[in-house]
Amino acid sequence: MDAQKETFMEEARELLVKLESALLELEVVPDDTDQIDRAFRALHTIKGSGAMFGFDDIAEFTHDIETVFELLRDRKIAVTGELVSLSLSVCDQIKVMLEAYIGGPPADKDEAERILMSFREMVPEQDIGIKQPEEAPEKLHPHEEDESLGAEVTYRISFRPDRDILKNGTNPIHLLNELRALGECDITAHMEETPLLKDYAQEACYIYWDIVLTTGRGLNAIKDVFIFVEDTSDIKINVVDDGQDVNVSVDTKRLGEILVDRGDVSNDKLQSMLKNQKRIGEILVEKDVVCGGKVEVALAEQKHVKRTHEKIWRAAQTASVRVPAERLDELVDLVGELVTVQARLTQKAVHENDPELTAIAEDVENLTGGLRDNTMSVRMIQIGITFTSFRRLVRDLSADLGKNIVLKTSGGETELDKTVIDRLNDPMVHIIRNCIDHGIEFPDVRIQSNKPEMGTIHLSAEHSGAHVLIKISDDGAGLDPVAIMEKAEKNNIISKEIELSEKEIAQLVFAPGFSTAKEVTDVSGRGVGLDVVKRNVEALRGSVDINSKKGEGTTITLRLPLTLAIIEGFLVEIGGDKYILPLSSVEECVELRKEDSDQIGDSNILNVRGEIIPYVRLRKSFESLGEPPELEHVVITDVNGDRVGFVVDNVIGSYQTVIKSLGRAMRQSEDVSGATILGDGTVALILNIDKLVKAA
Amino acid sequence: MKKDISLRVKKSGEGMLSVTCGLTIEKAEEFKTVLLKALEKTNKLVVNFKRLTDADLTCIQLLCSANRTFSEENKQLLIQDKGGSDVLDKVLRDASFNVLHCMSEKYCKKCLWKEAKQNDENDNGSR
Amino acid sequence: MTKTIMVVDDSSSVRQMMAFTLENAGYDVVEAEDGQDALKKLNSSPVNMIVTDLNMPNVNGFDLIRSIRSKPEYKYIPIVVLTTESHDEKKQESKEAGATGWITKPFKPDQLIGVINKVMPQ
Repeated sequence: MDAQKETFMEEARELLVKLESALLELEVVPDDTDQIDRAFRALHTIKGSGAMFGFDDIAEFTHDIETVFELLRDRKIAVTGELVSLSLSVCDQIKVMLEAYIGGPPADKDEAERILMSFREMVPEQDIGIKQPEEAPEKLHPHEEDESLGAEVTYRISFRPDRDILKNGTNPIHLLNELRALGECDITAHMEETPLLKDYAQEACYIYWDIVLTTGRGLNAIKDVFIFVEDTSDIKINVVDDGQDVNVSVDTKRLGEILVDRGDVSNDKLQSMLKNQKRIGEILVEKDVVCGGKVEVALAEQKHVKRTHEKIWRAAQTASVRVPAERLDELVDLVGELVTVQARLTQKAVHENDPELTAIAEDVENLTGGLRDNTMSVRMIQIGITFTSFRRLVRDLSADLGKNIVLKTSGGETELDKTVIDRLNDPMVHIIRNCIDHGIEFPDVRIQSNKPEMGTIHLSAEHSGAHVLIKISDDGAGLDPVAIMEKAEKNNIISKEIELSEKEIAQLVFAPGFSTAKEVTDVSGRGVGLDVVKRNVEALRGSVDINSKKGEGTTITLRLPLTLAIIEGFLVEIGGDKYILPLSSVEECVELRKEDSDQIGDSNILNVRGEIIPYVRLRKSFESLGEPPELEHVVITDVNGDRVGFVVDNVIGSYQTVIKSLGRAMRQSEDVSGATILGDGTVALILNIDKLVKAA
Repeated sequence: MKKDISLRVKKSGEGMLSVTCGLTIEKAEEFKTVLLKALEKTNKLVVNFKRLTDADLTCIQLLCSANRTFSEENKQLLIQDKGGSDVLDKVLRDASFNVLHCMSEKYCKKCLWKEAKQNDENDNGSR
Repeated sequence: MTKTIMVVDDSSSVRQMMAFTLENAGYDVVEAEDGQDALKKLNSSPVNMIVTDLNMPNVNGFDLIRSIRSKPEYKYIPIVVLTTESHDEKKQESKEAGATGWITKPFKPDQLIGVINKVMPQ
């Protein structure tokens, strides 16, 4: 037992002696208030100190009895002989409970309960509720428990101390220092309420502060700082920046935005001021829209957030190891080989039917899988950095054209294979140039069509299965179907008679040789059209889609594979050769009997549960020799939203496919996008189902 | 007995105020009274804080109030050897006067702390 | 300069625990066993801060705070009260009497130091 507990035991024994003598005095003079007081305090201290030093059972037991003595002290009930004898048994009970802590026999719980019951009976009805058993003792810091050490968040705190705050010994400076201890902190002092000497009240607190604080300790840690002054002082805490989207905010909030955000100035006023070319802060002060102090505070906030972002940025930089990309590529190649060898081993094990070998093969398979995932994840980088690099592009180009455009981004944390990201840069630059040049209108046009003067380009990235969707949207004029049709006809892309849906018309902008800009501008008119974008993205095994509404804007969606090196494949057999379809497109497999296909004839249409599905005979596509088997299989896939079947001889199943690029001779073939080496050493071609459908 | 807060007025009308105690809330009333007296008796007041032993918010507030009052009456208030008192420096720093966006500049012709700011600038930047 | 904190509580074990904790944190400590004792000791030795229980014989915590606030030399001294009540009532009453802050019993040494740092850091 530690020294403090021993001190308490000693003290409690003394208090019990005092309690006992007080009770005995009360038996003789029942209304001796001094003795009642003495007894009450003894119980109070036993309870309070007992709880402090871990004698919880004693504290709990004493609680209700203390309540009765409080009633006695307040003369709500009178001392009776019965009460005195009961109280004496309380003394005995506490003594036993105390001794139990130093090896005495355990206290009789029933006896304790009996005493408590009798005490409760003594409390008059209306006073039962007078002192509710205390809820779990309140924490010093009531917020302590849910305080989480999370991401660094930047808060804006306004602290206006009560004018009388200094009178009761509070020193607000200590609170400021406490805030500084929580994290990076910028504090601005306001003195404008300090009066002239003749009006100065010496005890008053006139100064107040605006604080910008970045901390990972959470809102409650900040609230705790102000716990003693929160009732009287005016304290406002707001989140300025949650630190989540650092990439996006390398350009921190503009000063005007912060002032509007704080409610110090209205947006309209700000916009009209912005027309001037002077610095906004100067102008606002000059025109007396907002006083210099407010601007200084907003500037301090801007600086703070910027600095915080730089810090996070730097931290992210130093927390990584830089490795030359070639070394990574080499590693990926080796892992690819390993995956292939592992497939062979697995096949061999199945063939040999040797349990020991099978176990080893399984272990190797697991390890290889782990290694593969790890290696792939090493190659993954966040797309945010690419997004950020477009900021400058948008700024410079829009300025050149006299347009007013802001770039917004989201999903910057989405990861993609480094190669994909590298090769994505050019297509994206092209699309963004198009948005700026053709998409977003000139400010006067925008105002006329009731749009905000400032145009917006939004870049976003999100996962969608084994793909990542990158969307580039603008709130510009949108595509004009009539103009597109005219242009397409003029450039002989389509014939006049053809009827196209709006969506199909939009797709025409990707056709080779198409350009809708009335005049070729320096921005996007460089002799290449969106067809190049389409080609580049398809080379990455991705696809491009466009959606547009006239007058409202255009969204171009790039659908890209997460990685280029390994895909989940679906292995099939045709005429003795093996082929791979991307598993992500495979939806289901159905059987195709010879008599059924004969019946359908050459229409190449299949009825699956009432749904009409067109199919492609791969035998025909690859001019396979020999007769098809009696029972063929149709692999139904999703090709750009349409269900299309591929007829194959046999279905083998899913397969981890390491993609090998084809030699120059084969590169001309659009039907296959690559090849892989199977477990038995043979080669399987990876089918480009998009092209196959189009060719059919 | 020598006073903790003593005011000496020269014939020229220039006042010298020297403080050899702490200027905390307990002393605020006395300090204010002396400042008011100085306002009445001098046209230029120089305050010496070299032997200041303690300071709190009331000290800064009173000095700002005095500066504003002197400004209004076209009188001058100066702090001798600014930065010479660690005690004053500390309270200014703690109350965030070092970054000095004093929000009452437009009431004062010349801010008392502005020069001190220049010296501290580098210090703040790296903090 | 080492600061001196006066701890006032009629429970010797609580007093001892607080004195031990505060001395370890680098403060000088003056102990008083009730309000009366506290007022007497305040006259003889200078104190920078007071931590006091509310329920005490002779002069209780509220009366102690009021007396201290009427002494010119201690008018603005930080005073933290110990309360066993989790209800706001007692906190409010003590704030009205002139307390700077409070700490709820039972408390751990760390919590005591936390409050001292808020009111009068070393």
